[in-house]
Amino acid sequence: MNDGVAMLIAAPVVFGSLVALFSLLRVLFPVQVGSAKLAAIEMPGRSFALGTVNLLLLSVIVAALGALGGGGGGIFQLLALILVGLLVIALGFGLAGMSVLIGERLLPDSSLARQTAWGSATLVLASLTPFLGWFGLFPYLAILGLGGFLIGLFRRSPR
Amino acid sequence: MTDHLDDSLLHAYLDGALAPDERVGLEEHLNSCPACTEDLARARRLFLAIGGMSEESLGRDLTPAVLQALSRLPRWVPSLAIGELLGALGIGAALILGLGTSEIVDGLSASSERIATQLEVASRQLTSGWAEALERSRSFWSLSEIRLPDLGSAGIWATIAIAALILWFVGNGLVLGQVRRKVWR
Repeated sequence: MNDGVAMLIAAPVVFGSLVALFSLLRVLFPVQVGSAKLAAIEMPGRSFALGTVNLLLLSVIVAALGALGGGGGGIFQLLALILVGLLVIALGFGLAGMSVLIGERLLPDSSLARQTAWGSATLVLASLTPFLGWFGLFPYLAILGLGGFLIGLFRRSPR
Repeated sequence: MTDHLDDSLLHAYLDGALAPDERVGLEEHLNSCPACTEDLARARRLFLAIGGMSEESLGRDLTPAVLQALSRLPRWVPSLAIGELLGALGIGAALILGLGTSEIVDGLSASSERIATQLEVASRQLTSGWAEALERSRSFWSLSEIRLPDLGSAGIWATIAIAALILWFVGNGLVLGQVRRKVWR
């Protein structure tokens, strides 16, 4: 019973944390989040391809580096940790971009904060749907957002 | 309709932007409301005054100056924010390794097991359907059963890492090259 109570407390906190994280990323890094959203809208195919390439191959590299480092730390594990951190940061920006995109389409006339909050909430809740959300929607949005973020990061500035 | 007409409605009336039935309703209200009639007269005077103003020219073209100012914007601002993030990431990774990776990994794994147990219990209590889905997912694919294959030598892992790195560079180069050719002009 204690576990259930703890979970009932933890679930809304985690949910609120994710919504706050995506909202904060948009406020602090509007250029990066906006670029991720824009690239995902304008080039969904390329964004998805780039996200897939990075997620899969970086995961393989991280696994290989982890295996090379064994359990005792060292330079390989440091590299693996840094790569994992980079991947998580990029995924965070990408998902923030996706939440902004969802929010803008759900509530086109609302304020930016409201759009981001509702977009994030919708993204998180929809991703919790058994099977379809876990293995379909969330990976799709994460990969699309990751690719969009990377395209936005490496795009050339308009002249 | 409220007691009095608001300014946007009066402005739309003066612009001729109201639908015929709205216009009729508004004029009926104006016939019986001196305050709104006065507001309409004030708005009409304002419109006439604005319409009578002459168009001023700037005298010189500001476009080159604006474009030059835009090009001088500090481009390091967004990259500095990302740089700070990367720096914090490096420091965090070094700290984690310094504190002892094995303890942290053990702690994380114990925490994840505890969280998984709590999630299962809470899900059963909240909705039976959700709990059933979780049960099915456990039999479908259990994350805890994923293990890296034991390839024996470090050389094989190094080969895999290098191959993946090369593929990563090639894949990114191909997709980003297409992106640059396509849109960002």
